[in-house]
Amino acid sequence: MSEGIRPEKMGEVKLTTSFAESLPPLCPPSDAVDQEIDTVFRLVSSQTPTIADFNSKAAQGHVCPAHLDACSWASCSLFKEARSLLKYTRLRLERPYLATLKIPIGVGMHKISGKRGHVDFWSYSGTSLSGCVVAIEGPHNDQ
Amino acid sequence: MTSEVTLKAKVVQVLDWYELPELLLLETPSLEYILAVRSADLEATPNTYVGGSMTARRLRDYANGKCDLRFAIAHANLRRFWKFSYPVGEPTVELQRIKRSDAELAKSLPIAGLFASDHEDIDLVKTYVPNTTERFNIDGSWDLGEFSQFYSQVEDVYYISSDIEKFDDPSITTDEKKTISGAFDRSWDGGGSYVAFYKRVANDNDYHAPLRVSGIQYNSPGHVKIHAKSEYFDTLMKMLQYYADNQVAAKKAFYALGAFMSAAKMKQKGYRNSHMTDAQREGLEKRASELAAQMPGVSFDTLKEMTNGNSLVAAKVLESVFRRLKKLYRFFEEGRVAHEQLAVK
Repeated sequence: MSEGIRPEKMGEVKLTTSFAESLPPLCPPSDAVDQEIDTVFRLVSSQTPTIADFNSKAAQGHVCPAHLDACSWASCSLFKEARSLLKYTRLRLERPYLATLKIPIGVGMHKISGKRGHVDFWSYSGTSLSGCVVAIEGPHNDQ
Repeated sequence: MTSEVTLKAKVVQVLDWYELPELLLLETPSLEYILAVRSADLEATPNTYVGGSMTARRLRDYANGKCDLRFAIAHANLRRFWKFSYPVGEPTVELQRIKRSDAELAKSLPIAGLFASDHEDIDLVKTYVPNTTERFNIDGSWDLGEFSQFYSQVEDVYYISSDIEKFDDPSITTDEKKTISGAFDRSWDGGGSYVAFYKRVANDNDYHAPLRVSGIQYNSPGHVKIHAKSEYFDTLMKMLQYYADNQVAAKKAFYALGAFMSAAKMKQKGYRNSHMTDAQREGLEKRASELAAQMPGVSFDTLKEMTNGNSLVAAKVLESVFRRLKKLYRFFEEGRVAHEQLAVK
């Protein structure tokens, strides 16, 4: 594991970017970008989400299985479309609130993949996604 | 409540994922499919799943939006429901059979309205979807029944040629061969056997090589559009073109086989393959091979293998395929149907 530091080339100036979490080597991947994301969602456990609600699976203490991508494991999962996730009962019970985020440039780097628009988000140190929450909806845990 | 029945299954695909996989697709060694969601029992570990069995056909229906996930799981095939633990990334899991009345299952079912279009595409189904749309142009005067007659001839020839091609594929499993051969297991004493046979062949192919009507415009000139697997549709059109180009020789081979069988009383009710003398068998197989030679994509040897060596049944099926081909071509010959791949002679 590196210390979450990745050299970035920006024009002629080489910058060193540090991330909020400890990241594996070559993480984020080279195709990750730091761009504004207009609307993105995350299911959270309370009406007032904290920094912990945006921790990666790695930061939550879950060990990454050997064959899975450790870099993705160390990201916070956000979704461009998340409403249908609320149909999964267990997930709804664990995370009954749907947070809508608007993320400006400079909070971190991300990569979007999959049909639902899964966003792997790696926050820069000193930033927090909890500050990007613009709306909270729920709770959705009523049976 | 669980019973003692356990089963191993392969995790084929994670269809939806949040922090953990939320929806899994499993496959058992007997090609039974299982869709499973995380257990909603908060006392259970987060990697506990419950799900229901389904046939390949039901899975495809789900993928095509014919039902939602709740329905697909709740109406499991043969009421087979399962519970299991899935440590992320394990290639196989051990399933424990549970009852439909299991409270954990009942509370874990997803809310109605979650469709396959809301999660990752099911790779397994994508492989088998029809990959060509073909248009038959229709003209002239048609009775309503003639449309279904036309489509039924297309269907019968398409499916049987798909079966023959599949049976010849070296990668086919013994179980798949048995399924194909199973369709031939009937008395063959009357017309009902043929109807049932083609129905079964169509059913067996419904997953691997489905044929579907995608549009009909009845008014003349109109069209019938179908979705099909291109390789089997191409075989059908090659058979029709060969017949168009060699009608005289093809009919001659057909009548020769029919006459030989009638003369030897092979078409009489109760006549069986075992009743044939060696000379009769040789004569039958020779004439049947000559007829098969008039139909590209149809091999009498393969048909015989499909019937587990029953020359009589193989010859009867061969005749029935030719009859269908002949009837089908008639629609083109009459000028009432046209397709860009077929030059009518």
